[in-house]
Amino acid sequence: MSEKIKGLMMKDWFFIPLMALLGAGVFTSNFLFFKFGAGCLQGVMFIGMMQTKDWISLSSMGVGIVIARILEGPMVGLLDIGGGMMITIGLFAMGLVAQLGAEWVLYNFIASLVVGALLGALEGILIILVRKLIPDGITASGSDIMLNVGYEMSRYMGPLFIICALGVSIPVGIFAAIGGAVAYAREKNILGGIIIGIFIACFIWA
Amino acid sequence: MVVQFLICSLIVGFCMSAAVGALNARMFYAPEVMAAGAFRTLGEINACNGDPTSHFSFGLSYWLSSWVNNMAYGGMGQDFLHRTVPNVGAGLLLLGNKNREETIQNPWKMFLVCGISGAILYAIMNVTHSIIPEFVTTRMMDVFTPAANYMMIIMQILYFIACLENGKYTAICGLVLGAIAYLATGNASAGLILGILTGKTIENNGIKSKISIVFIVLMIIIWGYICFARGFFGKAIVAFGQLSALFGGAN
Repeated sequence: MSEKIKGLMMKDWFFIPLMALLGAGVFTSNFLFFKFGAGCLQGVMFIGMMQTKDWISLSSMGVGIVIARILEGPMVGLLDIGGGMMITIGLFAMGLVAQLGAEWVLYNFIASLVVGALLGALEGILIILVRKLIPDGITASGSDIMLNVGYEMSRYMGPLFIICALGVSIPVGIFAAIGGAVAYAREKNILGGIIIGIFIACFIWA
Repeated sequence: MVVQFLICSLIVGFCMSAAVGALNARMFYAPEVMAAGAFRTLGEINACNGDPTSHFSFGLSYWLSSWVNNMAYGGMGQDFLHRTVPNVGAGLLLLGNKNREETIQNPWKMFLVCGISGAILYAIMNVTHSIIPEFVTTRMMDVFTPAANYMMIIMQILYFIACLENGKYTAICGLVLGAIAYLATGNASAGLILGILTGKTIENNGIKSKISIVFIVLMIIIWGYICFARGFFGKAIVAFGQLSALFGGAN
């Protein structure tokens, strides 16, 4: 029995149902965020943008990453979950759905699951199609440049957060700086330390 | 409310963790089978060398940082699905059977084990968020919202620099499409990324090759449609119609 299911799961087309399941989960994590305030899969920068509910800039920001991932994924046989799923379904498709007048979907559990599954299946079908149709010899170009930009961006995040925290109030700023310094001394990513510092300061001082 | 949140979290967590587990197990057979995951996940799973303890310590250390992030601002970053779920699942499977071909590389076992462990870890992170008082979250957003807005500008600048530094075609395509994207949508990054793609394709395959022409036509259609749909042409005519005082306009 177990061997049979394993064989089924190794089929190339089984990518599509798995993508549908993943898409349902990722899309509905946004519902949890909007309804209960926690559980989103995005990083801190996208959370700030989701709070503003500016769907147009959310979806327009994702479109380049979506196209790059859908072209790149089938060629190497490995779709990046971060760009190809969390950004494609979680940001781009969510922004598109809300923009097209179906914002209520984001506040309904069952509808979120169904829409997410449909979008995930659509992306899976698209990727399998690209994989079957694209001729050999065409190289996915430009994704290395985008990876570099992503890396550069993560370098800017820490200092930017310290500056914004220093601008809000004196205790928050000082704790953010201390958190960053501690994280740096322990050779960890300083953004984590800064966030913990801000978190502690927000508890104590109004 | 908390019970509802718990049930929803368990369902959502199971959906995505199970799918990630199965897709990550398929990763060992790529590129023959289409998989999803990341090259860094593959490298990290291989680096643990089948040792459950290192899988657990690696996955759970990232889980703790995701937990803090989720408590702080309600988002956990990409590390949960990329690192915690596959590594905890692999560690649990290896506890019972040390043979990696039968455990980590078996999609069905990864589907079940990752799904259940991921659902529990995700639900713990979410339910504990409700003990955080409301005012802390509001205050944290005072820091994060301006930072996100500045980040948007920095991101556009970084993409512009990347366009300019990667050859003539990329620079031209990036500048043109970035400007159009900003005018049409208020954010240049979509145009800049598509500009990098188009420019690199032209550079690699020659401007007269079939794929370059397809790309150029596609860009014209996409951006023409977006400009039209967002009413850009009308706004442009109005804006150009307002002459300055020098040319007899009312200003």
